[in-house]
Amino acid sequence: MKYLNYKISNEPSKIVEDATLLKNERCIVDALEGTLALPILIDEKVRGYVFHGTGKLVVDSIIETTKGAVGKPTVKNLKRPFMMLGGAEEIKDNLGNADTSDLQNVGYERVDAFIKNAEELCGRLLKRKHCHVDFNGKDSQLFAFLNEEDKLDILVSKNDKLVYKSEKKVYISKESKSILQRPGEIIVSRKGKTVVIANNGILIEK
Amino acid sequence: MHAKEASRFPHRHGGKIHDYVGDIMEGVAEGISGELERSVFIGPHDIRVSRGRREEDVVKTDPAKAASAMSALGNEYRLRILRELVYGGRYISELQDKLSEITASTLSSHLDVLEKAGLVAQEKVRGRYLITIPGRMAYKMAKKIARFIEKELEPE
Repeated sequence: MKYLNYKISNEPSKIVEDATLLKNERCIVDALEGTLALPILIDEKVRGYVFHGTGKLVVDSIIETTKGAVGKPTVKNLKRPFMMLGGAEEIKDNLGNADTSDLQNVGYERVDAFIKNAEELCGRLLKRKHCHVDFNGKDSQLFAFLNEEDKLDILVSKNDKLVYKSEKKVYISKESKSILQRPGEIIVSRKGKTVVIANNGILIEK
Repeated sequence: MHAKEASRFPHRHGGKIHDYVGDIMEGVAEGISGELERSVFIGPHDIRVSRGRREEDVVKTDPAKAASAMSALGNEYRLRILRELVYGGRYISELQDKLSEITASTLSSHLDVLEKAGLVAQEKVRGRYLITIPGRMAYKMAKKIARFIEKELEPE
């Protein structure tokens, strides 16, 4: 489903006080003071933002098995633009007006350049043929981070469910179930039972 | 006297004890590296549909990695940390309770060593420490070596 009914505001804000955009048992997304924010309007309501400045993403992409933990936490400094859908209301108090110097601090001479980047980023996700985003639901959030290879890393969170997809790994967590896909293997863990599918074999651990 | 046996148990055949321990350590280092390569396929309840080329993996062992793992094990407190983590993830405060005779900063530096060696992983959000698959294996091997040496050094 393409989601075309969205608009990017042309009035940038900035984070005036460090804001935690998402926090649960498995991940944290922070946007630090001075980060620019451009509202994303869907059906004329602010449903999210495109941020650009300084932020941090932490995902505990680790699976616990009876033989030990597998995987490493993902920790990324967010220097490139990223978008957030859902949770827009919660950060309203952390936002203030941005002026030219705030734009310059992030590397923009004019607001148009930021808007263009924001539109491009939103378009890459929301105009995808198979993109279906349910961000009207309570407690659900979607993030898209532009990575160093110019590709999108995606994070979706709803209550205690989490999906993180990057170039090198996919991590899914829901209650006592976790799945980690990384080069060469897929590990599925559920209530202490583990299945590993790797290049050179399959392990079923009861 | 069988040559193979003489090389495995030199102290029984006039060899020096440090040569003997050295041989054991070398064997274990190779073993750990081999296990690291195929760790997910090991265990008493495994169903192994297929497996990698074990001999080749051992030959490719990186001595630096093996030495790092062995070095991380070479401390009583680090072994005790691993023992605690075998029973599940622990917050640093819980580990501190169990190892109350060392300071918080010493405990942190031991955890750093274990983490760098890949024997322990820390969750960055909750902060819990978890033992990794190589960590669990390394701890098992350390216990086995200790038991074996104790038994071998007992007076007959």
